[in-house]
Amino acid sequence: MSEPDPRLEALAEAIVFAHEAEAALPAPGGGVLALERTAALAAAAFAGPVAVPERLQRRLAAAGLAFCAERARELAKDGAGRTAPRGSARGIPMFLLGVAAGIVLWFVLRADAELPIERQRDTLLATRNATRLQWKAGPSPLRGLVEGDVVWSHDSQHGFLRFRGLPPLDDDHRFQLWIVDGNRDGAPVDGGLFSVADAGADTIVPIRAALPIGSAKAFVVTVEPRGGVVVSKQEHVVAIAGL
Amino acid sequence: MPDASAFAAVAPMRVLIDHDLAPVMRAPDRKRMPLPLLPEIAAGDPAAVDAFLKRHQNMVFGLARRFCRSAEDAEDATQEIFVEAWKSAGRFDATAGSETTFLMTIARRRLIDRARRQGRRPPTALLEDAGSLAEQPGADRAELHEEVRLAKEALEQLRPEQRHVLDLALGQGRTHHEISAAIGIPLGTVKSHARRGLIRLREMLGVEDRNEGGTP
Repeated sequence: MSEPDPRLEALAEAIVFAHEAEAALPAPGGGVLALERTAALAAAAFAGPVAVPERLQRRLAAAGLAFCAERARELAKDGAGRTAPRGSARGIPMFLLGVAAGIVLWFVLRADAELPIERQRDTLLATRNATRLQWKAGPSPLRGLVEGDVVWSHDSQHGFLRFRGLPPLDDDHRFQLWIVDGNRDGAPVDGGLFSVADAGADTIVPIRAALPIGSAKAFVVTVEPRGGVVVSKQEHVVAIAGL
Repeated sequence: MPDASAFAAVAPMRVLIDHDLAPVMRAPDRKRMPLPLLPEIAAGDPAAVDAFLKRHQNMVFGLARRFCRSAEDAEDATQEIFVEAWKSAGRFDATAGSETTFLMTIARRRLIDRARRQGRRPPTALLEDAGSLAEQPGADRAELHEEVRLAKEALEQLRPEQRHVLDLALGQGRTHHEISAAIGIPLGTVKSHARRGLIRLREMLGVEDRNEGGTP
């Protein structure tokens, strides 16, 4: 048998009763973290798991999406800061080149506008700067067996959603697209309302972004009331792409 | 925050404890521990966030229900805990401890902060159920994470009085005065059971203080 370490005992007591009004967790170091981890595991063992209510599951899923969107913005800002300093000599010609490419692409797409939507999507997809992202199912049970993709062109600010397996909604609800813009703080940009007639067939929907998109980091589809909403509560997220 | 005088106060109370006799639990079975998701969460991967929620949400909510006065408060606390864990994901170091331990450490800190901030106390009815590792409503023993399952086994090997005090303090957020009054033992004995129980538990679980950098 060995003698107890009085300092360790004092730390252990402070950690067990850290929840008391006059107490606080000791500063890290000297064995505090090991005792704190032990106390946390013991607390979890005493409590045991309790099934999370469905409404909390939805809240947590929405909070997760919001975190990912915010993280995408942070990473985009970090990346931009490293690779393209504002006002650099190289930035101006690159900007002008981007504008020129956008104008050319706009004319191409305009000429193509009378084509069936499948052909318009194919044309956009064939352009050099179009981005294609696969849908991932969202947490809402309304997602069905959703799959498909998003095609987006930054240059033309134009794109298409393609779905299969997304169940039709009742007449009081619509799907609403949201675009997470890495260059814009705040809520995602409204990308337009749409409905689906047949889950078994391909549905292609044009993107109608309400604002210019600086850097499309993600596309999120939610279920909203028929007229759409300005800011989604993200209670029913059915599909996500790009995060 | 305890100061140096707090440590000095216990220094004269040197007594022999039986931690040399404490059985050492086997280490967590790594094969039963899923790969950590926190590195992918730090990169903003929504699939990892979703999987993390599915893996841990019932455990975190179970603890929150114990510490919060109402179901609504527990739901708010659960969300707060997950958001903090995601934001801290970049600091997770798998060599310093498991993902479950990382998350539950954040959870306990957050619940303590909330209780103090709100000046609220956990529901008193729980006190009557103290002294056991009884399953909670909705609990699924198979859902217990490997490290928590080992902690549960280790707690069952503690002296009953130590386990009882730790249950009331760690599991239900009771004060040492409340515990003393509830089970009829002196305050000094409550504290003694608490600290020796925790130290013995740490020894049995082999929890190390390695790498403070892995601190949540």
